Amino acid sequence: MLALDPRLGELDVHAKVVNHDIYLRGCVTTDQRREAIVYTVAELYPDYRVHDEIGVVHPVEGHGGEQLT
Amino acid sequence: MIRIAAVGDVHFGEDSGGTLRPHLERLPERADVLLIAGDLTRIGTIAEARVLVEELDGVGVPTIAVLGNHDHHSDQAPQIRALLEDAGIRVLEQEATTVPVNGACLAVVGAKGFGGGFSGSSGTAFGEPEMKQFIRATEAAAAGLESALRDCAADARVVLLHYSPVKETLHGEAPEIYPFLGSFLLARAVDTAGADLVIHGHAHGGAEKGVTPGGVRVRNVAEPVIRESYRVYVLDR
Repeated sequence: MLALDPRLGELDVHAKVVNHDIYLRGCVTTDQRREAIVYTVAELYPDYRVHDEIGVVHPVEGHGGEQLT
Repeated sequence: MIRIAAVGDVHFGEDSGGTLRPHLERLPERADVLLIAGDLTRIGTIAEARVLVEELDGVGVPTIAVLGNHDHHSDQAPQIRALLEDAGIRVLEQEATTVPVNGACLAVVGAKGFGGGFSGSSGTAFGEPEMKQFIRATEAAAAGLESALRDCAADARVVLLHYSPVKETLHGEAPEIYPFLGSFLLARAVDTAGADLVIHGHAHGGAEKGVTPGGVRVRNVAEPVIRESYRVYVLDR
């Protein structure tokens, strides 16, 4: 659903539907992205309660390295 | 010594400005080149690509990319490619480019690649026209990759893909979707023509490290896998 919506194309958040509740779980990199996903799902499914359980993980500066010999 | 920074699947949207650049300030101290393994955008619009171009402006190292499936979604891939190249970001599709690094020559051979699956459980060009078209697209991508690899001479050769050439870096993804995440034909092309390292993305739920049947190291640098703005791989040359 979230991957195919043209406004979102989101792969890292999954929706679980239980009765009339939609639970959104996964991780995105910005608060704006999280809010956009919740807003869009609520708009698409106005008869459902949308539960925002999305985490926001800000990418950190690259520090890992690997020597390939 | 050749230091290769790599990341994939940054999935920039129009609201992504400022999310990556702060983490690239020290990049020139840590790496000689930046490779981006496809899925630069969310749904493949020019507006999304423009935000990424602004984010990478003046990043301080040569930047080379391939496009991913998301970058094709809005049927604007040629325009996205042109936008990136106008900004100095080299975009590869079954072709090679070289970068001088500390007196050595690094060749990057790039292709999006495609799916089809892996040895023992892969699709074949048999049956319906749609199935033949699917597999033949992968065969053509693998042939183009192999040809580009054969034609380039360098001190080190790195293959940049979006789709995976091996199953190992998909572990963590649902096995049912492996045929849509990569193809063994890509690994066969790499092993036939030879390379020092393969970088790919696409598999957000996969694992970082793998190896082709011929012994070439494979690294999945999808941002959700490496969980940082880039990973650095060092080749001793």
